[in-house]
Amino acid sequence: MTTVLEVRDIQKSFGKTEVLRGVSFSIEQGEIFGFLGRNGAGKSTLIHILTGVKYPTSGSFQILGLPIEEAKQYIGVFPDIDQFYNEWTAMQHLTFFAKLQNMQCSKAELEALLCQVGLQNETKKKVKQYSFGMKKKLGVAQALIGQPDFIILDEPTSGLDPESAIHMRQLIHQMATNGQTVFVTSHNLDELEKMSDRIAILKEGRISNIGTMEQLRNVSNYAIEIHITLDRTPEEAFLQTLTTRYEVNDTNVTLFLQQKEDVAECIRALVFANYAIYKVTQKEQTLEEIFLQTD
Amino acid sequence: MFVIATKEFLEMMKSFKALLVIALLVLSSYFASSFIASAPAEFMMGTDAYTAVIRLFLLGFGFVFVLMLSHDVMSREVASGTMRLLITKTSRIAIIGGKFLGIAAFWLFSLGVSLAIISFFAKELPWLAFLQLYSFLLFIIGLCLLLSTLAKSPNVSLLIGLAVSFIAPIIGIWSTFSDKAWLQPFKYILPYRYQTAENVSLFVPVLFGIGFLTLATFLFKRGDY
Repeated sequence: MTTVLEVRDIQKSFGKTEVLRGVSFSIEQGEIFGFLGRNGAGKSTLIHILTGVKYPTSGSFQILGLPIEEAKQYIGVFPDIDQFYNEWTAMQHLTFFAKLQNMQCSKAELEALLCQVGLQNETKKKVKQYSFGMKKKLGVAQALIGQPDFIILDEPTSGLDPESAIHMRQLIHQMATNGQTVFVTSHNLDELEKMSDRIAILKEGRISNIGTMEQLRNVSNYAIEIHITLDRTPEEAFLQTLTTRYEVNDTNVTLFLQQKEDVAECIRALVFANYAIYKVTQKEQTLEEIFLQTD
Repeated sequence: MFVIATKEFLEMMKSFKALLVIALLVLSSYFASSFIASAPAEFMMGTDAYTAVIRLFLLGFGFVFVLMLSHDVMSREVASGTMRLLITKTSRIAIIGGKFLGIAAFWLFSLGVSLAIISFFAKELPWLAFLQLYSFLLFIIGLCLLLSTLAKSPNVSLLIGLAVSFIAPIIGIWSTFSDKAWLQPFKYILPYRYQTAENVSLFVPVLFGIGFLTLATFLFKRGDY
């Protein structure tokens, strides 16, 4: 597996304010890598560094084994929506950016790109006449010029209508299927959970958690939640022998457990203590719960 | 670099700026030539009356023209956010170099066409004046890139541009004819005294222009956007 992005101990300060405090991670080819953090956590700063817009105070990174200046032609970047030339049409943007990256793209190829993001009927409009969602689509289209190996998408679905958001997610999956590597940020945690192969959580300028959803749950204190309906209200002392965190509502009990293996242990203990179990449902921690737990 | 240069050049051409510049140069040359022809020989600076008017016009207003048309060549892109997108696509040297080439091509075209038109009246092609004036303009274009890189917003670059457009010609022309000690450095730094040069020294303003561009590139390469 080829490493597409290797980030080593990146730090970034603005004056006395430390925004990134030693960020390190790597992304492999074909991965969809979700990047998560609160507003002001340093996500945008890291993206600006990875795209060459800002310089790290210390630390380094390589994309496809190359420094950023040499790697630019292999990267597609989805920018903020207000980074377009308002007087230009979508086609003028794509033509200009293709030339700027020394890519030989025919008009038909660029039209196909606009069609791929759903802008095929808006090619003659100037960008200033575009809606928020249309600018987002144009952003994705320009990021896909020349089939780049590494694509950085900063909140690609925010502000899109549900249909367009679904289409965008399908497009991102398609990119990974094509062997392209995607670095994506989103405030929609459910979406990021479903879409990403791995996720990193940035907190106060540091990566607080990184891995697959399973790995994130494993490092979490209470990764598993089981809801049990019993024949009678259990005694607190008994529940304390099962786990340190639980909730009781009459005969309904919720147990918060650390790992999957604990589930069988608890059921066994309940049966052994002569409780009749009417219903058991298990719920794994969502990304949102893991994210909130990092506070 | 050439993609950016083409964009910059075409944007300036499309906005009728070229037509306006050419019209101003040609019309002022045509209508003021008879007045200049009767003036002392120093005003002619070794050329015909038509070329002399264009030269005097650019010496007086060259800074205003270049800086007012292009003061925001960098600052506009920074303020609008498009600079970030450009930086993700190509090198910073290509961006600033392209901007310089685009503006330089615009003035090459405007000056070239203006002098070509008046050569019909003057009955000669003023090659030396063309080189002297283009050298003068390249100095200003380099300075314009530097000022626009230093300013982070178009309002600031406009303010700096206006101040420089007003002060530079006064100090430049004054220092050329003055013996005051404190004005001597300006005599050699500003591009006015080289207007009468007929040897290789007429390209000294170009060297200054390249120097400004190099400094602008250095600052642009170091900056966060």
